[in-house]
Amino acid sequence: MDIVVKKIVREVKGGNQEAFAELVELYKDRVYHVAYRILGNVHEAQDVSQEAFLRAYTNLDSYDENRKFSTWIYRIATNLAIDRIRKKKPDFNLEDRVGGTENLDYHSQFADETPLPEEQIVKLEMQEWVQDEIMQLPPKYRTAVILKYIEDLSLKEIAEVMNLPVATVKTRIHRGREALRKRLG
Amino acid sequence: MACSREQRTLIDTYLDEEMTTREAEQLERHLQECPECRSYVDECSTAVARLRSMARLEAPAGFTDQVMKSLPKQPKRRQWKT
Repeated sequence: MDIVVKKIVREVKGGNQEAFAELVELYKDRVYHVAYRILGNVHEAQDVSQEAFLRAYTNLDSYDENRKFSTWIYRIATNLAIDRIRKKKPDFNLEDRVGGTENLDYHSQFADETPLPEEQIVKLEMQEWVQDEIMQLPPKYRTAVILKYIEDLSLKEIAEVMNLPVATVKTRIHRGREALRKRLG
Repeated sequence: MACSREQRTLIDTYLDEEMTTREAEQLERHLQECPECRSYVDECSTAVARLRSMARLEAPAGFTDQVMKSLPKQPKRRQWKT
């Protein structure tokens, strides 16, 4: 995988813009997923993930090929998602709780209008509830928890994505997890 | 929790999924005799399991095309070569 990615990156850097589509194909689902989990809204998740790829393209020269591309694109996407949250609330403090779930739009993931079977409705409601609780976390804890338990990244990778020491990442995960224990445990 | 800081650190290491076998044995011994820590670990594990059960979402159809359309147009360097 890494060899393939390196090859594509070099092609793009060499002027083959079309090759960038291959990179987007490889990482789009992961980027979109993490953006959705942070933002809880399909439209914003799409906006942020498209913007993340555009930024990756325009800043490709600053990408260090010795590092994982996934870490780099995750970093761009999570920073954009957090910026988006800050912009929504002008006086937003990172320690504040994010209230409201009015943006949560899980059902819009399903284009089909046919009614869902009971079992799926229960599953969807469970997913909405968990997403809602994730949204209650302050963004810095939210990102750490999502990267750890939903994206399954190692602590070292999360530290690289968030540009923080591993010890700080651990603290954020612990605090986020503690808040979720009270709500989801 | 009334337990020592050491036990609490051990629980955090377990939930961070960074535990050595020796630490795991140590924690297991403690959990057997401490119902309070046991229920704490259970609650944390339930919360983590719920996070892990979240469905994987895929990027919407046409995503790559839209990204490609948004890219700046490439300079036509070759045309300038003589």
